[in-house]
Amino acid sequence: MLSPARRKQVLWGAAGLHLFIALVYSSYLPVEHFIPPAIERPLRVYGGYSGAATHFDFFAPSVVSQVRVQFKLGAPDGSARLYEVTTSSAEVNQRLAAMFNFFLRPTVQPFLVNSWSRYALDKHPDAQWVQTRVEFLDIPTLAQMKEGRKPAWVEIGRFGAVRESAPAR
Amino acid sequence: MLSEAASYKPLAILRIGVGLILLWQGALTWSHRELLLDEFGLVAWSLGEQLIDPAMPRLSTVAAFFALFGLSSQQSVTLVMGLHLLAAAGLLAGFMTRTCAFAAWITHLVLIGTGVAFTYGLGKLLVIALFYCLVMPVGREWSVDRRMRGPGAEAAPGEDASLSVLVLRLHMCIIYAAAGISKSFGEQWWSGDAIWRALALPQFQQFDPSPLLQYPFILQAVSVGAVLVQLAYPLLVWTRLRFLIVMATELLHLGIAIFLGLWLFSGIMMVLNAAAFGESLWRTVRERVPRAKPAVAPGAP
Repeated sequence: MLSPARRKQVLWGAAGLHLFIALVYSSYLPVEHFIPPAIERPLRVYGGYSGAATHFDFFAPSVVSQVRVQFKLGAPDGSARLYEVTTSSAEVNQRLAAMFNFFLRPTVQPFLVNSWSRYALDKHPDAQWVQTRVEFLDIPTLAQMKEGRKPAWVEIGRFGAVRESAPAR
Repeated sequence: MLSEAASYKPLAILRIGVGLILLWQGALTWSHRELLLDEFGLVAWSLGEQLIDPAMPRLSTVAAFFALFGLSSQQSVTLVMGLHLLAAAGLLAGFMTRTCAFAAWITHLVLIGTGVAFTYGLGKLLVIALFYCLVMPVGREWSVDRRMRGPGAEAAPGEDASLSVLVLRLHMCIIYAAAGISKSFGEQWWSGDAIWRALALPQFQQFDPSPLLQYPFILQAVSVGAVLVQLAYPLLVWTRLRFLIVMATELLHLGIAIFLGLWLFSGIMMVLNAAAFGESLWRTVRERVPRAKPAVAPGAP
């Protein structure tokens, strides 16, 4: 059993260490790359459970634009229709937008497109193929807007997939 | 000035605020759980769970356990979300506070772990807040637990209250310092483009921002102001200007909620601020606003 004085020391020490970890990870810079892996992994796991390993890079250093995804679904009879994933909930749409922006990470891209395509085909059992069109909103700067430029959706990827199996569910 | 917690009330504010935000979030997302968290959803579990550390909790592990009892992965998601909301209600009421905080925290980690692709700043801030609800004495005031302990169990503020409030305050300073410094490195924030871009993005758009293009100085002033408030926060909250800077920060979050539609994100930031500095601000208001004199009955001596 710890004495009150010792307990106080332990609590203050733990609080200090916790805040130090929070400070280390708080920057938008990937500081984890500069910490030896043997130390970084336990810190990251602790930070994952406690929230201490959070980069506060919301809208920083700049506001990234938005990705949108459109599916074109083709039926065996040759007809095709467009499908967009959206909901009546602004909060859920916000989460969908965050997810679609994951496309901007090159390492995840092919897996993400594969998952989207499979989902679109699962949702439309009558479709035989799907074409996934990914667009990025090009937002001009204030100065460019003054000169007459307008925001425009620019295609940054187009991927095709054919149904190979029955819907997952 | 560093941590003059006079009671456990700041921690009760944290507990109640977090409980409300979790329930609000649950109400908004419950009927969309299949879209966001289905095993074969837009981001399949097999993909989402590759994006997190193997040591973090995930839905596939939970579903594998529930499968032993014949439950499908969809039923597992419903069960985890249901448990999460039940724990949030318990946290709000302060009933079995520590147990509910643990349940809300671990289920939140499970949900944002597998659903990491759908997570934005809110999810991470909730981890911070829930972890503090778990380790701090948040059930000592304004709670069912307190009532159940009976009137004799007065919650005299102890060392744990002061330390907890100090940790909250310092963490808020870290958050704002990091956010402010990160933004200050972006040219967009000094030119006003950052605010323009945020308002123009369909995901945040609450109104047509194009009329604002006639007044670029307003966009620039708001943009620079947002950076300055965040940079000043960790410095001024320890001074006599605490009231001013905390109110400015709360207004900033209210603005984010109204103009970008980020109500839950703003809500949790306002709760964290209120928990860290609310009691201190309240004391300042009470000291400065003269109390009304008690009415004296006619004929009284």
